[in-house]
Amino acid sequence: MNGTHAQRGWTRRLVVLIPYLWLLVFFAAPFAIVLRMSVSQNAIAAPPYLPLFDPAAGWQGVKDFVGALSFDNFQRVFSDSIYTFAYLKSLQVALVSTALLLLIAFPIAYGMARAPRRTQPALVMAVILPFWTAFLIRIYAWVNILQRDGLLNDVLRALHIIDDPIGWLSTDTAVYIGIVYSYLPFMVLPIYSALEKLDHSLLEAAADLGCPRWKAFWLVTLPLAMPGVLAGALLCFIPVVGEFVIPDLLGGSNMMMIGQALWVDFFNNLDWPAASAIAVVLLALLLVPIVIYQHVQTRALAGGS
Amino acid sequence: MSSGNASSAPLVRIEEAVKRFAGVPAVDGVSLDIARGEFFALLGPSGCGKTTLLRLLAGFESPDEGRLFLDGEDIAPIPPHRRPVNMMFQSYALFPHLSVGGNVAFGLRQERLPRTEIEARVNEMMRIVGIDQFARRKPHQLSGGQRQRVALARALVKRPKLFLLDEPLAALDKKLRSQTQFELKELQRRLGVTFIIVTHDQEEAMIMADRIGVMNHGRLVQVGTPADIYEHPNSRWVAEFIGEANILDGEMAGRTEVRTGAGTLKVVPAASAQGKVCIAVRPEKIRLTGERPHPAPENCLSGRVNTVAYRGDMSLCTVALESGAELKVAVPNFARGQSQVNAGDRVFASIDANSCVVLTQ
Repeated sequence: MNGTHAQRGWTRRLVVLIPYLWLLVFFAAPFAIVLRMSVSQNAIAAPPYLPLFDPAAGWQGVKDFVGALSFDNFQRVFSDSIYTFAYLKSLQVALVSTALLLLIAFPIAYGMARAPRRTQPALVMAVILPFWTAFLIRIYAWVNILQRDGLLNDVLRALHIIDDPIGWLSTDTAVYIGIVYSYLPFMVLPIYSALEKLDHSLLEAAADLGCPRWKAFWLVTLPLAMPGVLAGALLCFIPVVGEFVIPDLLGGSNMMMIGQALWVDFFNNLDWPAASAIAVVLLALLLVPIVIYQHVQTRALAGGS
Repeated sequence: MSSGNASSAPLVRIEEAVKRFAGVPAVDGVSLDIARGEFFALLGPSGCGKTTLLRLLAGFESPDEGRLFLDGEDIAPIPPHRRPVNMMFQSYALFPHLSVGGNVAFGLRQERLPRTEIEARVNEMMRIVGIDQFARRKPHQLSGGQRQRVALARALVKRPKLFLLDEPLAALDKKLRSQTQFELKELQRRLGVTFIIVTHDQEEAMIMADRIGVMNHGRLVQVGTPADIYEHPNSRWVAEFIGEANILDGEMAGRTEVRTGAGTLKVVPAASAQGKVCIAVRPEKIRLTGERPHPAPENCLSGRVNTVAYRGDMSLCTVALESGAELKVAVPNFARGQSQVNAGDRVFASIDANSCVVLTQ
């Protein structure tokens, strides 16, 4: 009896351990490596940075290693306006895209949640169907659609909306189209799942208490969909800030998001320490919305008292 | 505000209301008047249309046929949010994102009343139903009984002309339920609001309501006071649905006698009864004795006790009559520690003619 109890306690602890182990192996350890690189110096060597830690030198080796570390890369990231602009551009793109995504995804999710129950699984399927095609191929398809002699211009000209083709490609608009298209399922699904759980009798109760339908939407539906809205916004905002492929393929040469800056430093300049410093600062920036989200979540759980 | 004329007219008048779902009638030609200040119960098995009738009054459904009047006004075209009617939902439907105080104030905020008045009325109503100490909590932090009170306060704070309660006590445990039944009755008397309650629990309906409307298959089969319905059921179905009843099939033999399988029984002369009838007798209206009683009662049947089910306050016995029919008999347990009857006892069952209800349908 006692033995099985202890055993159960042990397995339970093991189950809890798995996510921590996962975090350690796939987040904490790689991040430690990136952090260590970010305080190193660029060097023409293999690996292309200094100092290297020499365990054979003992205590003196540790001292030499720590003494050679510096925050020069961070100083550069903060002082060079290219990086500042890239960060700001990324935040701007992420904010605008998240807002656009919300505006488009909410009505879709609302419509799905109000659809007859038996058609809902098919609608959810339709939302995630694009994932069946590789991401890169879908973005290349947009290159085709948006280019000067592409599908979009053909359609617009056939409808006599425009006379001369518009250069959609290599503009901010193209990047926004690509991002909204790619991230839509990540916004729709959390909002749908929040709306789908909404008890219809709450809306009847609101009507019963004298609240017209449009007002009940603001007073009941929207507040109860908020957890889904927040989760969706976070799920889109954070990866969009670090987005590289979409701005690289659809954006113009003047568009430089932080992901692109990182790419240039890492692959073109072979400056691993600078690229690492960019990544560390990006992570610190993204902690802000996550902490806010956590705070809101705990407050919602704790209730008003 | 209300003239003498208005108060004598019924508050609610339902005329031949019909509501169908996908062609199947849920409410099938119901006509009913409910007086101002009345506590009315709609009672029936699940699926009998009682909740649909309530939702017609609340405005969540609109009738396919017939008319609904509230205070003389045809309310069919009025949307639910403009009706002076409030409903308490079976699930309570409390807003999970609002505090108790926010829930109770919700309805008054829609009326754009001054803030101070809202606050005063909300506080008063929360005190009346005893939830003032939970004002800042969220619904998920309350017990079932507390949530039920929040739902009650949220609807009653609107001072509705008509208050609809859909199975208000179904989610409470038995002890709390019977306590709340008396509190609801007291609250209704104190506020003077007309209550219509939907329930499938006949005991609950009888304890609380001034009048009961028994529904079956979308129709109102009998309307009357609890005593009317229990003592004078108008059909075999009502007699069997409300409480326990022994039903004996038979045929009229003259004006005061019915020939049944259990023997010929004397009954009180019934005006229209002819031909095939059945007799309903409540188990507590049958007396069991070990010897043939003197003077001889109007009806006396002999038999043997088959089973005895002890219920504490009384025992419910089945008596196998010589004719082969079986009677359910309630025997009160007067004395402590000893049963009045035991299985296998030979007994005589005495029944007054007045206790035999003659049913023609």
